[in-house]
Amino acid sequence: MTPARNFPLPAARRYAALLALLLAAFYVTNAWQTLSVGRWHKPGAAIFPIAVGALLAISALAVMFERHGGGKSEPVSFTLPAGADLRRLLLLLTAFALYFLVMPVIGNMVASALFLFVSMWLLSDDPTRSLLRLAAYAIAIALSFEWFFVRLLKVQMPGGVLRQWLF
Amino acid sequence: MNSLQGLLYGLSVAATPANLLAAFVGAFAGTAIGVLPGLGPVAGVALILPLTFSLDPTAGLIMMAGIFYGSMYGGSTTAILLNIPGESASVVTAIDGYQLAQKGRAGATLTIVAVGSFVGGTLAVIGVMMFSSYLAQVAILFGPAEFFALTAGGLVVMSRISGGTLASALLPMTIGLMLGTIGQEAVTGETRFTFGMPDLAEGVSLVPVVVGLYGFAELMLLVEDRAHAANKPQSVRMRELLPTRTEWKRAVPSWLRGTFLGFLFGLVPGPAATLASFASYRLEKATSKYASEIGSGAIEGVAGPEAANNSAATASLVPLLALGIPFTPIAALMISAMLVQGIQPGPLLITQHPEIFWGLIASAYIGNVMLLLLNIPMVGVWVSLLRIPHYLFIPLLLVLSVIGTYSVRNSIFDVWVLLGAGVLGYFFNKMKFQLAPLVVGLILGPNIEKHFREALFLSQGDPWIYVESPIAVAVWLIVAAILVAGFIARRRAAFAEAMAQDSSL
Repeated sequence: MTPARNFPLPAARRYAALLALLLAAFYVTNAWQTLSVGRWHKPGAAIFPIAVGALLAISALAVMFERHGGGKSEPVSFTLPAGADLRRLLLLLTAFALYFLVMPVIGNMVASALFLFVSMWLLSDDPTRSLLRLAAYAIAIALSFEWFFVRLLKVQMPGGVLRQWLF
Repeated sequence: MNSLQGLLYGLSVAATPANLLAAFVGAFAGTAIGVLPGLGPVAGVALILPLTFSLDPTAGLIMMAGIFYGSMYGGSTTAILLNIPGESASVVTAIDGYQLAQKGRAGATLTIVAVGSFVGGTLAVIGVMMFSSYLAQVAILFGPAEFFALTAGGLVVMSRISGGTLASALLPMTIGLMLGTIGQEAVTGETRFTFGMPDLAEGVSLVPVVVGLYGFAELMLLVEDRAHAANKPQSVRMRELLPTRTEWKRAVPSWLRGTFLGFLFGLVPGPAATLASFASYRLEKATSKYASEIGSGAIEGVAGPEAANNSAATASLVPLLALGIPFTPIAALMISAMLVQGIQPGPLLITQHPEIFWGLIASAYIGNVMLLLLNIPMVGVWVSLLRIPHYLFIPLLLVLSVIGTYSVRNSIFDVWVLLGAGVLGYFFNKMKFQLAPLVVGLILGPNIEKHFREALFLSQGDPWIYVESPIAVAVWLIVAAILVAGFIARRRAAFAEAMAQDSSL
């Protein structure tokens, strides 16, 4: 059974709406202070953002004050992973962020191979699965992508400092 | 050039070896994407978008269209075999499709679905061919006020019919509009909301947002969903693929009803394919001779919705090709591909780039034939794709999403946007906010602003310009009619639900 935590949906949506309201206030203030409003016959760059900010505030208020529990099929809660599953998800996100953070330095191919290996290991539920086999999969996929995208389709990807030794 | 001449010209363009290969690769990759749970048509097209930049524009767009149709076909395979819809338009297919599979009719159902998708897609292409060229002639008369009415009105309609509550669509839509204001604006060239970051000067790119919302977020949901990871599909043998004579006979009227309904839905802004499949299911329940069987494994329950969703997906090309306005995330991606290749979509596309307009339409015919040939005999291959473990394909798709996103502008910043959009999409999915309005808001926002301000410039500040021309008035009236019809339909549904609750007490 997957460990999971239940959260009330209406409350979560209200928190999201509150964040949107704050965002709208910041956005409109910034537009008002930094952009030209212009005139009716020559509207400036601030007009549209101010209108969008106002619409964002209205939609945030609509979410905050919407009625819940009307329909039978309406969900009242949602689940988020907890425990080991949450740890696994967060580790995967961290590995993903590190992957493209180091990509300009070590190059796309090496970074992809490392990320593939780590993420396969994180997602593999079988503790007896051979690490050597996962490494082989990771290297094979990274090499195939390098050949197909970079060599064949000429997609520009960072080569990194290892480029001169690898190719 | 009339429609028939155009089609013949399009066939000569689409039948070149390079374009046939593009259609085949697109259809093949699209079916694979549709079959794999977690990746739908939008994420599939978004991932492949940067790769099309290295191709000739016509071949690139043909490949994207192939992926789009292919993933619509493929999405139904998982719905029938595993009760897991590969994409939202296949949700309805899962209801009767899975029941039929449980009764040992999986192979025949897959054939009915593949042929139904072919019928829906092919008949809708005829509609697109007739309608687009006619609409493109009318669209030449459009000025800023008319385009403003179309884009802003389309967005209003979309926010109302995207599913869920109004607020569930409006909030993401305004966030999309807001993201669209970042960077250099189109009218005076002023830079906005960049906060001194050079990466933001060019604005927020569509690709990382779409890949993040539809690809990354879906993959995160798959990571936490171990129950589905454990599902294994049943095998389907070749001899089980042939439907009985009765099944064929029962499917034909449903295909035709679904195709017609789907085409109408495809012309309206919003998630046309999904809405069309649900509407077709209800239509089958209301009109079919076998209505009582629908829900417990009736062939009409899969034949109608599948023809409808493919017909709607094809018809959604009309506003894209004739007006250059994308009302769906996929249309937005196709426009993005055209712009990168230096092609301005819109009413002049048919005269300035007939090879693209007619080539795309002709390739849809060819693509539908290819998909029929790919889907029925190769069903075993698609089933075996479902056996690929999550720990292999999730990392593979994550790497593919980074390569696809980075290569658009060679920007690591875009990959951060992908991560941000992915996390936002994950929480929006959990909190039942709609994702499509955010994407369409992002792509239509700059257009709406441009037409809004240009109209005021032209009229010397007179706001009546927005409702002066008969075309603009007609567009606003259609928008109002759709909103009123939607309101009445919801009131009726709420009344019926209340009556049902009362009678059960």
